[in-house]
Amino acid sequence: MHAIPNVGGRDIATILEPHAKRRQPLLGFDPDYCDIVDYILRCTHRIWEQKDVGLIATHYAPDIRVHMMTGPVDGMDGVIAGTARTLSAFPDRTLTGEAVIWSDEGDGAYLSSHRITSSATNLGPSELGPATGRRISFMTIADCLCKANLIVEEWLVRDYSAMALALGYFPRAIARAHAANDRASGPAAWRMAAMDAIRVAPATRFPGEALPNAARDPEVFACEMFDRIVNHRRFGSVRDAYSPTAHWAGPGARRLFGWGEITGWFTALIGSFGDARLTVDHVAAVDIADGHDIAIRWSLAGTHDGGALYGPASGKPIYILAVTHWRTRHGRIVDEVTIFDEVALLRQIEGGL
Amino acid sequence: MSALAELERSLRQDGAYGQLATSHSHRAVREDSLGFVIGRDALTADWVASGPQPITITADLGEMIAYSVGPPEARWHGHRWITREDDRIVRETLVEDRDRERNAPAAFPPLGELRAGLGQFSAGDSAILPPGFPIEANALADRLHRAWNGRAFDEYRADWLTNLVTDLPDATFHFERAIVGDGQAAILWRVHGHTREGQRIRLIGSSLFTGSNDETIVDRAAMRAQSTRDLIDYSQTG
Repeated sequence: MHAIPNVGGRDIATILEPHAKRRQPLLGFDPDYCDIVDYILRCTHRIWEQKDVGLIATHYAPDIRVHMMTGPVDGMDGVIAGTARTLSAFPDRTLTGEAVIWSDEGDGAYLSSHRITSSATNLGPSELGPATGRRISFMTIADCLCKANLIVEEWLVRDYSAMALALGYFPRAIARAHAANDRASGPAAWRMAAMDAIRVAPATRFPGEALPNAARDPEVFACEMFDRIVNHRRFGSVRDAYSPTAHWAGPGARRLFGWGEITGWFTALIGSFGDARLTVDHVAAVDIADGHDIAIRWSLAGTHDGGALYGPASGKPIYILAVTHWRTRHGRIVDEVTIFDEVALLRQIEGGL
Repeated sequence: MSALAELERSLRQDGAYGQLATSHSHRAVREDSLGFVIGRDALTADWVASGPQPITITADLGEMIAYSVGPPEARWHGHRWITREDDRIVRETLVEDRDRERNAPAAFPPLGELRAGLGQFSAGDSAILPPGFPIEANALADRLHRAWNGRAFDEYRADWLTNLVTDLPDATFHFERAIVGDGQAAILWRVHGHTREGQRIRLIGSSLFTGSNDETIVDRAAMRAQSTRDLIDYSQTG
């Protein structure tokens, strides 16, 4: 088999030009897909940019579950309806694939973590509010479990707070309105179950000074650094894991630079949710020159007991579903993108979901 | 002349914006001290909006060029740094000293400290450099670190530095990238600091060293814009 080319170094015309040879077995996939990266980029282009939304029927399992911070959506019909709604609001949306970080899950299945920068004009009403006419950019990461040409399970994180801010809305106002429509009986069962799963995960021992080797074992590096920095509050380990000039992009289209600001992010996260526990739920890594691209899906449960990031403490239990993409070079993180839905988080703080 | 210098001249003087279709990746982004232009289409629109201007390329280090733009009575200077994937530009970092009114988008309250983990220690003699920083530029970075972060102004006299540190008393400089060649060296850096009113300022700067001369560019217009911009507050509902 041939090496699997990623997005880097290839223009869109090259990425989407037809090609004949399979680079991976891809059992049961359509013959015009040559590898899992090609499958993800090409079907995204067809469905979203060429508007062939009906292809979802041949690319999603009928009983697919899409996990989001607003709750799971079950069934292919829901995916089709959601896609049509988004395209109605943002008809010219382009979805630029920034990275497809994948892993072979065995038994013919692949996990693809697809990071997308979208550019779009808001010409119709969206779930955030009425049409504004504004042109915006926002990031999404879709973790898709793919088998036999079908996406059978998906974890979708979108930067809704960045969308809301760019459209001129107040994320808190949207969250409050949505929360008012949520059930009055407290957190939903799906969210309580997700939070319980995080809370019962066995705690690790307090980490010593020895650090995992990012260049040799990126999966272990990802798990241990998240555990060390978030669960054990060893924020100073940012200086071990990251380049001193690392770039960080996060929810709300925040942009941070360097050790001080990135350390500040983790400190503020725990300053907002003092009892937070985090589990790393999946890691994928692909080789690049001098390093790796690593995708880490993680979830966090905690109590909103501090005002560092999301307004005055509410005492509400919160759940975060997030995906982080790292680029490492020479054993250090040089670029990070972390996405989760802050509007859904504020909605929890407002008593919804 | 490098491909980047030729492209700059073609875009600035001739309006050959169609060249961006082959010079840049569809994913290309440009960053300056106020944010990002995302995607080749947006970059093209930005170039078209800027209109034709006379330009002189004053230094060419391949992936970094220095230039001056405009007529003599209203000239400004710029440094453009690029990163390529294969032969296409995927990232530009732009620093210009053009004196104009700029608007800064609203920003989140600042996170974290400027001198990470140093506490009460002094800046020290050695710059903290990223992996892959060229060894040939280490001595220069260390010298600038001592002068700029260590405030050894007797070793580096420049009005821009004095003015910047006066405006941002805790200014901290980070050296991000360097290119060395042909008796020239260029360093791309960032400075973070707080105004006396507590507003965090985050600027990109670029310095070009040729023999005993140096040309340092900082976007003071971006600094003015940042000092008056709104903060995003997630408590607000309207």
